[in-house]
Amino acid sequence: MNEPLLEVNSLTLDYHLAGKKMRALDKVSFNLEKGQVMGVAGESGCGKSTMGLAIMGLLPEIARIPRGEIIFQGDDLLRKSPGEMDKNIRGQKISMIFQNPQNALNPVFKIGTQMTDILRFQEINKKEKKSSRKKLYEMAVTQLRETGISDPGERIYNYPFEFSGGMKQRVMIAMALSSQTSLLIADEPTTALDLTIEAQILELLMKLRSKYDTSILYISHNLGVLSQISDRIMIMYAGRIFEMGPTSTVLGSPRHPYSSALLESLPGRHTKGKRLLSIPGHVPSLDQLPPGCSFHPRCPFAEDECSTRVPDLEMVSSDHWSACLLDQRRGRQKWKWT
Amino acid sequence: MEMDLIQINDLKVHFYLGKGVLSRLFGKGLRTVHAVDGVNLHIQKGHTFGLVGESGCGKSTLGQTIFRLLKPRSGTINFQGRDIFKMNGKEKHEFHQNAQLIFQDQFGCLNPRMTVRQIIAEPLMAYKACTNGISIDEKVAQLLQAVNLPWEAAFKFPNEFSGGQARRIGLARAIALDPSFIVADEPTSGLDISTAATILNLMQDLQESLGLTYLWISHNLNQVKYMSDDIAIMYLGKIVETGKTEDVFNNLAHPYSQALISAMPKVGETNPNKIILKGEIPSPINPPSGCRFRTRCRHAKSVCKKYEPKLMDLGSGHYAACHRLDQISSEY
Repeated sequence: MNEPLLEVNSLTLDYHLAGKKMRALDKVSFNLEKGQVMGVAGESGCGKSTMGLAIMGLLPEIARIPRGEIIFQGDDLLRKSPGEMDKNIRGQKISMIFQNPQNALNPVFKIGTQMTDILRFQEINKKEKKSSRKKLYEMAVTQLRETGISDPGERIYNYPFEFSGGMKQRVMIAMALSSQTSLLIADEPTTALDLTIEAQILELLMKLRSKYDTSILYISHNLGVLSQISDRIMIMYAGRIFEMGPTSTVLGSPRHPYSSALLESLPGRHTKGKRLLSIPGHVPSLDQLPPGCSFHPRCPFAEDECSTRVPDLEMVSSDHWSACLLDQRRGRQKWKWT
Repeated sequence: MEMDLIQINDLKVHFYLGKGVLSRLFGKGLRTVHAVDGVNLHIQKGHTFGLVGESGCGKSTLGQTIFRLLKPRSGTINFQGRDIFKMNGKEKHEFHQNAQLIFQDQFGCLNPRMTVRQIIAEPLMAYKACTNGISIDEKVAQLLQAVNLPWEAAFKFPNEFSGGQARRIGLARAIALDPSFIVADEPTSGLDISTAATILNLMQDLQESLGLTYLWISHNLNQVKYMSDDIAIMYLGKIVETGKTEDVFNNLAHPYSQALISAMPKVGETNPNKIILKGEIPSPINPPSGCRFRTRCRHAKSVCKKYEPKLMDLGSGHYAACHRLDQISSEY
C-alpha cells in the first residue's frame, strides 16, 4: 500500500452559534493516496463541504475542532499557523475549486491579471528572482491552453463576464493547478454546468490527474458523476461517514441501509410507473441530532440498540467500511426498502 | 388517436437587443436572439411531455410562451383547439384556470409576507372557486393534504419550510383551481436526491388522481426518461429529435441526442465510448447556418452547412432532424 498523501483521523468539528453547539463532523477518518480520487457523497447539510473547508483551513470563526488531526504529507495541518498555511499549503500544495466559478473570480480584473497574481505570489514566497511580466503571462497562457481554452493568448485579456460558466470553471482549474498541487478539493465543480460541459470538465480533471498524479477529493451529491470518476467513495450523513470503500463495491453492493436507499431513490434505475423510494422523515438538523445512530428515526430496520449506541465505522469486508450496527452484528443484510 | 391538448405550430419567439437610441447610434444595431425558432409540438392529454436541452436552448422560453407570458413572433399555440393568442378576456380567464406553472425557484414564487393559507387561497378567491358550500379554509386544508403537508402549515410563512416543502406548497397552489395542464419548469432543481424522489412520486400520484397533463422541462435526462411518455430534445431553439420516450432512448438518431445521453452520468455504468462534444453551445444571436449543431458535430459534412435539416419520420412518431441519419445510425 502506498503512503497516504492525506490522512484524516477522527476529525470532530463543532459550530458554535447563538450559544448552541452543532456537531458538523463526528469522528471522520479516512486516507487518500497519491493520485487517487475520493468521492464524497451525501445530502445537503451532511458536512461534506465543511470537511473540504477544514482541510483547506478556511473555516468560519464559529467553527471549533475539539479533536482530530489532518495529516498532509506528514504534517498536521491543524497545528499550522494561518501564515504558514498561506505560505506553503493553501493554493500551493492544496487547492480548491468551488461550485460557482462566477463568485470565485474577481469581476473587475482581467483573467490574466488574476492568474499572474498567483504566479507572482508564489515567486515572492519562494524568494525567487522576479520574472518579467511578459514571462508570467506566457506561463498563464500555457496553463490556460492546458485546460482546453481555445485562443488562450487572446482570452487572457478578457474579463470573467466574457467567459461562459464552463470556461470560468476551466480558468479556476488552471489557477488551482498552477503550481505543484498534490491535492485538489473539488466542491461540486460541475453542479452549475450543462451535461455536455460537465462531461468536458470531468474529462479534463481525469486528464490532469493522470498527468500530474494529483489526488482529488471530489465532493458531490450526484452519485452518477462520482461513480464515473472516483476510485473510492464515502457516503456521509449528518456529519458521520456511513459507508466507505471502492466505488464499484459501495455503489454495487451497499452495506448500509442509507446508501442503498439513496441508490433506490434515483430515477435512472427505474422504468416509468414504478414508484421511487422516498426515505421517510427529514435529515435531522445538526443541533437536534438523535441519540445513537443518527439515521435510526428514518430507518425501518432499526432496532432498540440503534437508538442508544453510536455505531463506529468498521471494516465489513476487504477495504469496505460501514457504520451500521445490524450489518456489523449479523453480516450482510438485504435491505428491502419498499 | 388521442386528443392533443396542446398543438404548437411553427412557433418562433425572438428577442431583440439594441433597441435603444444609444445602441442604435453607436452600438452594433438591432440584433435578434433566436430563442425559439420554428417549433412544432403536440402534447397529448394525460401524458407527460419531457422537454430536454442545455441552458440557452430555449426550453424555458417555450414553456413561458405556452403560458402566454411571452409573445411569439409567429406561429400558433392551440390549447384545446383554440389559439391562445387570439382569446378574448373571458377565454383568457378560463385558460389561466386550466393551465398552471410550477416555477424553478421554489422560494422566489412564494410571497414571503403571505401565510401559506393566503398563498393558496389567492387563486381560489380570484376565481370564486369555493361556491358549493365548502369554505376556503376547508379547501386549503384539502389541498395541503393532497400534497402531504399537515393543515397547520397553513398558518406558517414560506421561510419556515424546507426546499422540498416549499415545492409542495407551489404544487398545492398550482392544483387549487383543478387545472388540466401544468408546465413544470425544472421541478426538482436544487433538491436532494431523496427529496426529489418524494416530489416525483407526488407529481405522479397527482397526475393519476386529477388526470393532469405535464410539460416537463428539465436538463436531467434520467428524470425525464423516468417521468415522460413523449420527449423532445432541443438545441439552440430547434427540436432535433422527438418521439415516444421509449423509442427515442432505444434508437437514438440525432448525433446531439447521442452525445447528450452518453454524457449522462449513471451509477454503476462506465461507458468506454463516451462521446465528448467539443466546444460550447453557440450564441442564439448568430446561429450557425444550415444545421445548428454542425459546429460541434463530428459527422458534419458540407451539406450540413448549406441546408437546414427538416424533421424526418423514422416511424411510429419518432422524428429527427439530421442530414446524415443513414450513415450515423449504422456507426453508433
